[in-house]
This record gives sequence, structure tokens and C-alpha cells, in this order.
Amino acid sequence: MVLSHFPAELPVKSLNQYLKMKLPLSFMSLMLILAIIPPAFAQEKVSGRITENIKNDKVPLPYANIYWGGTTTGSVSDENGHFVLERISGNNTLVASYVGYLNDTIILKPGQKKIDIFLQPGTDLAEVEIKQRMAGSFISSVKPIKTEVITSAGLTKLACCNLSESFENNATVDVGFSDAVTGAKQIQMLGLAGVYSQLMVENIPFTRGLGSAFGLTYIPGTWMESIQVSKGSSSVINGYESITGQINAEFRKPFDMDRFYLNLYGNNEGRLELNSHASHVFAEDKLSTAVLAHVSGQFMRIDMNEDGFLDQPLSRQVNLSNRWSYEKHGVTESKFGINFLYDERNGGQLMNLATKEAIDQGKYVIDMVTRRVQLYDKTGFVFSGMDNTSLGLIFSGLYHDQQSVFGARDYNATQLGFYGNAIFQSQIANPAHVYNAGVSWMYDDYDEVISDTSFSRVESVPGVFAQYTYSPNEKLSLIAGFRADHHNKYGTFYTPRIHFKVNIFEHTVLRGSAGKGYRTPSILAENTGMLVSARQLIFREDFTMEEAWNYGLNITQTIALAEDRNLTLSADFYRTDFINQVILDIDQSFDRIEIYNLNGKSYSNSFQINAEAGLFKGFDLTLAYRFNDVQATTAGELRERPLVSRHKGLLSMSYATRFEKWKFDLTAQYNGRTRLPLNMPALAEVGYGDYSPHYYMVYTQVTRKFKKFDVYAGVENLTNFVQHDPILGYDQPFESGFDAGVMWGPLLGRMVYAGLRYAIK
Amino acid sequence: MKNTLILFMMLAFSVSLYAQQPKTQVINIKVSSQCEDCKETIERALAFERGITKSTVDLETNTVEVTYKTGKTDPDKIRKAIAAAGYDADEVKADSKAYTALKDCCKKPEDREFDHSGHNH
Repeated sequence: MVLSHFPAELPVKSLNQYLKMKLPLSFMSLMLILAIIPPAFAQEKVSGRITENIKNDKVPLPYANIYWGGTTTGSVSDENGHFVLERISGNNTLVASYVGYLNDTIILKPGQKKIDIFLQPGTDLAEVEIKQRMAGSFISSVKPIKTEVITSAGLTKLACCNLSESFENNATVDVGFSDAVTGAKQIQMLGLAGVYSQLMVENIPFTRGLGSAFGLTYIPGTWMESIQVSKGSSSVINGYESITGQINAEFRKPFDMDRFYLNLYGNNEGRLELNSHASHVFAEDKLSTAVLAHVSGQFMRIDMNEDGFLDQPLSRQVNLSNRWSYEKHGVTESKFGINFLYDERNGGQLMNLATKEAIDQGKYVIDMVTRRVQLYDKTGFVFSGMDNTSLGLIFSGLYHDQQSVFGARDYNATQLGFYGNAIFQSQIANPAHVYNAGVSWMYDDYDEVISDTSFSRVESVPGVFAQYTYSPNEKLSLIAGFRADHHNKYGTFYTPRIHFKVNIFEHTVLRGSAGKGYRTPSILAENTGMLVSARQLIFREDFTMEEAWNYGLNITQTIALAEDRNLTLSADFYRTDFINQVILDIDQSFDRIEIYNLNGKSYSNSFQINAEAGLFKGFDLTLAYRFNDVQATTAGELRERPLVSRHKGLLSMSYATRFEKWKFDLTAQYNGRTRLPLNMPALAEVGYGDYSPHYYMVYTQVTRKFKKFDVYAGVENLTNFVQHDPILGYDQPFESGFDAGVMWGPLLGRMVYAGLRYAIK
Repeated sequence: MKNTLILFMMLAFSVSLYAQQPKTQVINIKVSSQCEDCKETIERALAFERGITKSTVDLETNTVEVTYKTGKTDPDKIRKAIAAAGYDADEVKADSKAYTALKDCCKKPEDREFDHSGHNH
């Protein structure tokens, strides 16, 4: 069986993919089996079998791709994993790929006729060969939507602590504190707040609504297997919400993780953390389960800038997850589980007082308790006998409760949420034409009260969607998607999105996207920073839905430096144009925030260049530069958005000795100045001009691997740069002028940490 | 100043003398390696053993040359470490559990499903 123009790099669609729900999977799914032409001449042949090794049993991988490296000539394995392939003269490199598994490249010896290939499961890394050392991050060359993947190797470079700390060596996503008291962190993509990007865990929306402020800190770093970051419009399959991009975190899979894992972490500022996982595979690898646990706390009271406020709140978090995976090969696959979270934070004027005493004495205190339970199930069915046809069902239920005090403000909120998505996929005539269609329903019941004012509401959004993927060959793919949703308050709205990917040359990939996105804001939950101020909240009108177009273009060039080292260059440009936006106007006066619908222009232009290179064996270098131009009309005038930096630079170096016995990582960031809010005399009083200063941040880490465990130590914020006077009017926190929400830089100074990881495979 | 310098140099010299104290030895051990993967597996296993500074598997002769510190390990321990990784080491037989977990290409020809010497993952 020889296939001409076999789409070598594109794995076969399977149920597996659906469950993993990679965003571009609908595209990757395309390539099943093309026309089979019998060999015309009897040539020298290579035969063998493609299997997976599970507990010493060889499980055949049917319909796996096998092809000659650098060519499109190949074949697929049969039901028992066997394949026969004709030799191509001068080519002795065989590549095997299978969806959900890592590619394998095999060098054949001259005259070798039989080969046995084992593939290892791996979710996102289908396009990477198994190597001794895995790059910390890479740009996927297969996916039609440009996707940066942060691998588990990249995640371990950042020893602490959760998703909010996972982007320090990534130029695409900016992370900063949203205020100087609560410890809440916010991300930015394309210079716009994180709420405009969709945050998902295994393609289930994660931080919608009340989870927005602290959601990033609810995902422990060690639970994650990888993070995929894609800028611009994403697939309509996952909903209408992403405007600037999508971040998807994949957790470790029960069937594929260490039997036992323990991670201990501590730093000199009094943060302690314990992560532990255990997994068990039941009979025949059909059923497996895992328990993941995270316990952490901030136990030390630190006030480096001596403003009487804790630099970060005292905190305790317990986070538990039980995951299950069921698989009946070729028929159905299911993943379900439950997550619990308890999170408690006490911050403010607590240097010498317990929380209760401080409140009794009239100090400024924030006191928050969050409880969260999430249930989810993802099940897929394969229609045997119908090529490329499957049905995926996703359900998730959420209970989120936050009871809190912000100084003189009480804020109590509960969210009951349900999310359901059913996706059908099939092909029209042949795998070059694949379509998806489905229905979804999002339901959220918010009971939200701030200082006796209720913001309670119910949102119910049923929707339908369809997506068509055309990929005649491996060089071109086009995705056109459309969805219609009906919001119980804002009515019906439509979301068109298109993507394309063209391999202009063998190693040059051009991608583009255009699409619409919508969202309904949860003003209070998404902007806790504004609760930590004496600013009055002035709601000028009822909000309408936020609505924006996003257009993007990017090009990626790969240059081989050596056999296993590449230089990857990429450049991209994205523009976001708001049709409507809820504006939080902090420029009018220091004593209020005016909140109203956009009247005029609001846009963001973001340009980024990246160079990643394996300079010599074991050494990787990343250089990146990003430029943001973000403007919005406030009070009739188009202005640069406050607290958004125009320039950012990044340098990241990583060196590992053989077998990663020693690993050294260093990341340096340049963060440009940001415009400060207008009409704030307090800023001038503490020495600020119109702009905040620019600054550098340096992170470094050393890891030493031993036979059974790893030990690591590192420093964050090596240059010890901190934002001065982060809390304006700290001496009179209940008076007009108090404001802890003007954040542009780091709050915490140099921090030293150490920890260890122990695993039983 | 000059005295300090001399003192420092003497100290440095004595330290370097001391550093040579745990003498290194080289030993050749016969192993049941089959392919490139085995070379990788054995060298990786030995890299994380105490006292071993270097190891190189020669697939032509199926021997591993191990450089180790005499004070910290001995040939018996090294052989046991190789056996624990699933390979015979001289007269020490491979740990059977580790052996069955090896990839097909790393097993002895009689235990293999396919012949494919030279399989390079």
C-alpha cells in the first residue's frame, strides 16, 4: 500500500482527539486514508508493526501513519498495526505518527527489512520527535491556528506554583497583580485584559464569571501536563467567547502519569506548598483513575515597603481533583471527574494583628473565603463503519461561592453554572472535506451582592454551530465556522470565524484568522482591583454585550541548524476592533470609576517577533519582542489604555547537561512604561509623572536530577525591582484617595525558593 | 600581601592534591546491549549512580567502559546497577522485571517479536 501525497504530519482523527479537544483538532482530524494505489513494481520493501507498549503487552495501533522522512510517501498500518512500505532510494528515515502519540523517527540500516515501532502516548506533542530533552515550549507546525505549547518541561522551569506563574518565559501572555492587596493576578493577551481570552481546562471553560479574578491561581502547576496558547480567533466549536485568544491547560492523564508523585516547595517569603498525585490503572487499561492534591499557604506577614499593608495576603488553599478515564478502543472513550477548592485569603493592615482584631479595631482588611466544586464529563463515540465520524459530548457543572470583605465593602457572590456541548463530526465524500456541527448550552445563575446592592442575574445561552474544514493536501487548510447563540437578555447574535494555513515553502508556514467574539462581563468579579480602593463605582447605564472583531496574520520559518536542533523564527500581527466594550473609566477622577458602554473607537494592535534556537547541544535560546498599541475612547477622547505597556522584550536561556542531570534556566524580561491614570494628584505626590517607569525582571533556576528525585532552587525577581507606593493613601484607607488598584509592576521583591520532586513511575 | 599570596597558592595546591584523593578507576563490563536504545538506557542508568563519572557503551563489543571513584562505589555495585536497568553485566543476571519492561529491540533476539537491529528511537 503506497499512498501518494499522504499528509504525513497530520495525524488521523480519532475519538481520542475529541476527548483531548485540542482546538485545531477538527482540522488535524481530517487526514484519514487517501486513495490506495497498488505498487506497480516490486521493489525492496520494509515491513513491521506499530504498537504501543502497555505493561509489556504490545497493543497494535491500527491506521497509524508511516512515511519516509521529508517526503509525503507513506502508508498506514492495518488493524493489527502491521504495515508494508516500499523503499525509496537514498532515504532511510522512517517516521511513524498516530494521533495522541508522539511521533517516532527511525533510522533504518542498509538492507534492513523489518522494523518494530513503539509509539508513546503524548497529547499535544504529536509533532515533536521523542528526544532526550524536550524543549520548554514550541510552536506547533501542524495546527492551522498558531499554537504555542508550553510543555511539562517548560512548566518545571517555573517551580511555583500555579497557572498564573506559568507565563514568565512567554512573551505572548503578560501576568501582573490586579491590585496591591488581594494577591489576585491578571493576564493580558494582545494588551487586553485576560477576560477577553478564553481560559479553558481540557477545553472546558474554566474561569467564567466569578472565577475570573483568582481562577489562574486555582490551577496548580504540577497538575498540568501542558498549556496551549493561541492568539486571535479560535474555533467556534468551543464557543463565542474568545476574542483575543485562548489558553488551554491540559491536566495529567490518569493512564499516563506517575503512580505516585510528590512535590514540596518553600520560599523565603513564607510560602509553602505540597502537591501530590497518585494514579491507578485498572484491568486491561480500560479504566484508570487519579487523585491530585494541592495544599499551600502563605504563612509569613511581609511588608517590605512599610505601608502597614501586607505585601501579599496570608492564605490557605486546598485543591483536590479526582479524575477518571474509561476507554473501549475504537468505540468509546470517556473522561470524568470532580474538583474541589477551598481558598482563604486575609490581607490588608494585618502586620501585627489577627484578622478579627484588625476588623474590630477599624483597620482595613480584606477577608475572602472561596469554595468551588466542579464536575465534568467528556465522552466520545466512534461510529464504526463510517469514516472519520464521531460524536463528542461535554458537560460541566460548577458551584462557586465567595464570601468577602474589602475594607468597608462586603462582597458576597454565588454562581451556579452548567455547560454542555455536543459535537458531531463527519466527512463529505473524502477526508479533504470535514465538517463539525453541534449544539451547546451555557447557563449561569449569579447571586451577587456588594454592600447591599444586588447584581444577581441569570444567563442562559443556547447555541448552534457548524464548521467546515477543507484540506486538499498537507500544504493548505481552510476552516470556516459559524455559530448562532441566543442570550436570554441580549438576544440572538452570530459568530463567524475563518482560519487558514498555507505552507508557502517546505519550512515556511503562513497562517491567518479573522473572526468575531462576544462576552457578557461580570464587572465586579473581574475587577477586584477596583474594589480595593475608595473610588465610587458609578454605573452610568445598563451594559450590552461586549463584541469585537479580531484579525491576525502570522508567519513561522523553521531553519535546521543540526540534526536535532532548529532555529524557529516567527512574526505575527493581531488587531482587535471593539464594536462594543464595557469601559471602566478611571481617568475622570481619582475618587470614582465610571462604567459605561463604549461610545467611539476601541482597538488593540499587537505585533510580536520570536526567535527560538537550539544553539548547541543542550542549550536553547529564546528572544522575543512585542509591541502593543491599545487605545480606547473614554469620555469622548481616544486615549492610550492605562497600565498597558507598549514594549516588552524577553530573553530566555536554558542549558541541560546529558540526561538532564543538571538544568539551568534564566529568563530576563523588559517591561516598558505604561500610561498612568489621569486626574490622580496622589500619584504626583509620590513622584510619578504621566508614565510608570520601565523595568527588568530576572528569574533563574537550577535543577539537579538524582536517581529517584529532583531537587531545584531558584530566584525570582533577581534584580529586586518593586513598584514603589503601590497603595496610594495607605494611611487613610477609608478616605477618598485610597487606591490599591493602580498596578504596573511587581509587588514582591527578590524571592528565593527551593523544592523537590519525587516520582514513582 | 606576598605571604598571603604564597599561603593561598599553597592552600590551592593542597586542595588540588586532596581532590585527587578519591582515585578514579576504569572498568570494562560485558553487557547484554542490543541496540542504540540500550546504549542510551544503560548510560542513563549509570549517570545517576553514585560515584560514576562517565560511562560509554560500545555496541560493537557489547561492553561498557565505566569511570568511577573508588571511594564511592565498586565494580559489584556497578554491575548491580546495570542489572537493575534490565541488562546482564558480566556474571550478574539482569533483573527480570526490568528486562521484561525493556523495549522489544532491547531484548535478546530469542525474546523479540521482530528483528530490527539498528532501531533508533
